[in-house]
Amino acid sequence: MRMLLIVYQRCLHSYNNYTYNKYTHSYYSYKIGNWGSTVKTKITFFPVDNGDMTLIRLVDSDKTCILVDINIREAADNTNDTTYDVAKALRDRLKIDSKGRPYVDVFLWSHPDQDHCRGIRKHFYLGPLEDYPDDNKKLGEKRIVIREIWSSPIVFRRASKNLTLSEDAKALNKEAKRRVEENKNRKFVVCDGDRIVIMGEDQNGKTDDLQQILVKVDQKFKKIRGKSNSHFEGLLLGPRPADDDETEGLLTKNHSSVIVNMKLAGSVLNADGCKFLTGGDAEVEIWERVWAEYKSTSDELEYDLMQAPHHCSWHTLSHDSWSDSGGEAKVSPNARSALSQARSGASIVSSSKPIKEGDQDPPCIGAKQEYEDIVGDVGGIFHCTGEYPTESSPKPLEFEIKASGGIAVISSASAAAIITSTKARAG
Amino acid sequence: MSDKYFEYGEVSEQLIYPEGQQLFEACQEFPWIQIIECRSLKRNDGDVEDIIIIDLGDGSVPSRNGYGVFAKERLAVTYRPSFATYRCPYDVRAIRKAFPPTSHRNYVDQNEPKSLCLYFEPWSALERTWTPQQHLKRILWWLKETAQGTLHRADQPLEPLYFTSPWQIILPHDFHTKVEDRNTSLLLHRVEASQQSAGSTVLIGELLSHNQQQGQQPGGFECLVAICPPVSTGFIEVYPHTIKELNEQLLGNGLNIYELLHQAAIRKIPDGAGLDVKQSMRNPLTFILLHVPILREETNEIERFDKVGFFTESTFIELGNAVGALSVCPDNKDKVYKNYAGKLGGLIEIDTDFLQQASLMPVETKLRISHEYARLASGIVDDPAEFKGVIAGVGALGACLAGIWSKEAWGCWTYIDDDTLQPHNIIRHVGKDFHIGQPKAELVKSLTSWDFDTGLAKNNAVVAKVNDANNQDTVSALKEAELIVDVTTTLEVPRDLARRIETPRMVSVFVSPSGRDSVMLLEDKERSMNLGILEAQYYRAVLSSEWGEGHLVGHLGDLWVGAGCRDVSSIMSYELIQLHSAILARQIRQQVRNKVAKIKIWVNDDVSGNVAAVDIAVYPGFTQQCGGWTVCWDQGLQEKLSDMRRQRLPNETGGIILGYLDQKTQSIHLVDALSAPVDSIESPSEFLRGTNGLQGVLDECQSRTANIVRYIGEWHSHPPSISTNPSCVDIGLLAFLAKQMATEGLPAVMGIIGESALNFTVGQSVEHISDVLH
Repeated sequence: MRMLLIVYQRCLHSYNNYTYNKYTHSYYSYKIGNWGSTVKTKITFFPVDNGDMTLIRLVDSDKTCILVDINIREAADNTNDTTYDVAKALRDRLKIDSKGRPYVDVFLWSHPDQDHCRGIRKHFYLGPLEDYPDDNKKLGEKRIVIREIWSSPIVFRRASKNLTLSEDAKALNKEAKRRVEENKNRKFVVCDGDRIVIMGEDQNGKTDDLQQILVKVDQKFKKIRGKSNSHFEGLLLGPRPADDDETEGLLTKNHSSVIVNMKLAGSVLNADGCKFLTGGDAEVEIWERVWAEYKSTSDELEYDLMQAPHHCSWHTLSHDSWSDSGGEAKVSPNARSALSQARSGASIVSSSKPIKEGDQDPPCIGAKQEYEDIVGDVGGIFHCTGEYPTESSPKPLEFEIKASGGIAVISSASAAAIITSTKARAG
Repeated sequence: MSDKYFEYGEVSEQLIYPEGQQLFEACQEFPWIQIIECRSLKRNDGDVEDIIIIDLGDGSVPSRNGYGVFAKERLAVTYRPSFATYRCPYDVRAIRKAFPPTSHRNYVDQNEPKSLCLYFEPWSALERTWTPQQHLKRILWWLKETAQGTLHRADQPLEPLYFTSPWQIILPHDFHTKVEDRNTSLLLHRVEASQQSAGSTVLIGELLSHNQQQGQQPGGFECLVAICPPVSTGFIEVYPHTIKELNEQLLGNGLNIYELLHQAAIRKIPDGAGLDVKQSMRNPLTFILLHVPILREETNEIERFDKVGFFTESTFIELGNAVGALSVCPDNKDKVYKNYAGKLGGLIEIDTDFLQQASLMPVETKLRISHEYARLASGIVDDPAEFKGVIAGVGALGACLAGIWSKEAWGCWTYIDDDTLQPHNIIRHVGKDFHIGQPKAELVKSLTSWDFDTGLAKNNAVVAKVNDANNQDTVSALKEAELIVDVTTTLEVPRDLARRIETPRMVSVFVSPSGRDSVMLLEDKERSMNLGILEAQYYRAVLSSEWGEGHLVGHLGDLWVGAGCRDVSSIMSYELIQLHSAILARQIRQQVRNKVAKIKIWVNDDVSGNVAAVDIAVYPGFTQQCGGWTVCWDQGLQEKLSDMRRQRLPNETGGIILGYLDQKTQSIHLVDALSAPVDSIESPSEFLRGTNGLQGVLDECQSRTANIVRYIGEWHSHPPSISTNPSCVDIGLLAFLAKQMATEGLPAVMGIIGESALNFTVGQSVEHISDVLH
């Protein structure tokens, strides 16, 4: 892309040097936290490079928020760096509790890779809520409270050759275990801040005594924070490790990814506003197993919106390597089938860097082409968070769920609106 | 391109217009576009269109939308300069063959991809702000709104035609109520003048009985009016090119155009005797009109009628034959008969081959304006508008008001005036030179009756004085009216009518002699504050307000303030009449909604053009009978007297009273009371009014009010616990006053204000005691 900038110079007004602090917008945070008056269920994908960070805000009376993974890089936190400040964008969308603390109702941790929990220690509070230490800080600096964690059972595994954990993952793992213990000690009657739900049984009976806080694979669940929520229904499709994974030492974090097909209400009257399929970094074998289980009930895999697994990796769709194959890599028909139950006008979102021609993977151009074909067949659209709205200046990609059902991107703002919401520095 | 998409134009290496090139560059930069290829379309007339085929979608089109619009659509964005004459030269075509038949599309030739109608404005206006980037965003907006069903409102009328229709059909305003009348049928004839203009030919439609039709001049067009059963949404959203296409559209709504046309033709032919074949029946063009009642969804009542017109290139006889409605007599080619086969239970033979081939040319079809529409378009929605009213006096101002309200279809008026149009009236009156000598009421009636379709006007004219109690027309008009607008600019009419109990609510308006100000005196709905009460309060405002000083400048001292514009020699431009008419017409219309009385003055600043509105507080009136005289005053005056008394306590105080008398009604109207002159002597038991400055005040008062308001008597206060009956000293004073006033044949008034009462005594000096005792 070539761009010619013609400057018609007459007179440049001089402005005072306004200083901006990233976290001085507490009033606005709160205001935006209320989400305006025309409330709709919203799903926001934040531009976090290769990584996941997706916020779901339901349209129930509590405006329940479910955050799927986070990936807040240091650059995004650095005020002198132009990387989009996703932490602020997230905080702007969060609710504040009666004690003035920002919170999410649910943090769904798909699996312990760093690009799914980066920044958790800095931005989220891990520990018993009675010890919350940030009440005297500015709102923008208060750590976010997680009322309930939804976690893969992999938290019970010890670190090994196949399971190395980052500092963030270790901290979150520790917090998950603390909550499990708290549940056991309190006979599973716990408050916000101690809640946890284990997504999928672990082998060897490790989760047998946790039935009250366990969702089994292929089970549908509606509970959020201990209460059934009429605006939400999840179908747990994974983790789905093979029986012999562990014995063969194959269990990887990606195989342990939580996969949920969520049915989100568009309004009180329309429980099926949108089906949102999210599957962490689950790879081709997992999707083949999903298809094997659901090929006769494929409507369970239908979606209006899908987060392309593993940041649009080729390994989601194929056993072959993209870069080694020289364009001959074969797509697994079964994995593709599992991922192609798109409803009319569906969208697929790759939460990744911009997707380029060549060997890069993830995100992989070959996978993008497959996904474009899938949505192309239903008049839908493929998005990449790293390219939205432009590669040079990505912003959150936000969908709203129509009251009558169906999803739509909330239209991009006018040039003037964008300019006036962007810092403008002049010399 | 596959079967999925139209082949629009041919693949081209380059775009030929700079505008096409700019559009291409904008597409390249636009984040939601993938450019597929460039194309070019050369039309038979040599016109070339630059085409860029793109995939466009930003995700804002909702998934699973019920309208069938895709989140990403393949489109042709094109540039064709010759289009600028009709619409935006930048056309957008939906290349996907299965693109849904949405509304808001442009008319396109048969078998061409659908064209999105993106703009309401004509290109001549649009080109001032249009940019390729905004154009592309506009397409996204169109797709999103269409997919949400928000672009097409429920009450959306048919898309306007985006080409110059060579014909325009104007139908009568009450077409929809009369169309089903079997005894009439529609005939079109040309407006002579329109044939000479370069634009389209205007055809006037008339519903005529069969007899009337026989007597018509040759050269008209026959019409088949297909009356559809009521539907809940307008279903002709895109103009069809053939009767076959029309039928396909209608079939979706369970209607059969052949059947509708059969019925339409049958309706035109009288039973038995048949119809003489006229020239128009052999005219190779026949007009087909679809008449579609549209139901309001909530109530299932008909809320409007859509009318879709076409010319088809067949004669009426051919069409009638094809739809199996008529048969030509084999022996007499000049006679057609109704085909009874259908009625007798036989099969109607319909020549579908003929009908399928018949092409349709859309024709712009309009209705003449109804009163309801005139009101709607004037923003008169909630006001009652069908009431009967009287405009008393249709001189310059009255005729202007009549003209304005007629255009708005507000009220059914009787114009009452005994005057005829004089040569000097022409300057400020709506009447024309050829009206000179005609009664003003009649000429205003005929001018307003031409505002709308024949037969719509319900206005009447009475050539008489409005207060002539012996004129039956006047009396009955006043009796039926709900509102009388007095524009007589006389003293007597408002005063006479205001006294009558049976008089409906009145409003009196006039323009000041200089034309600077206008005045509105509006009675309350119950008439407890009638014009008689309001008049005095208006004068008090003239006396006490700043604007009052110049208010009646230029009056001739002829005892009426609004008579200025009636005078032959007065100088006042038509501009001022129109300026004040417009203000008064609107204000009267708006103020009569409210029940309360109003006094309002508008003061025009000739230098700045600013018109200031002054609202005068209105007070309820009181009366006291004193011998043969009725003394009238209002609460405002009473409060003023109380205030002046209270300020001077424990002393007595007083001053002079201003007002006017009406000898005919034997009434004394008190306008204002002045405070004590500075040289007065006040004490707890006595008051001696001084004289300082009084003459000046009286002169000013008479000058400001055109000699209407003058000295009327005296007032003074009594201390607490003293009655308001006149004391011996007071009686002595009254006798003195009466004697002096008698030199002008007038009585004198003395008012005494006490703690809680105001009491008037009238003294009149008489020659014989019997004059007052009878």
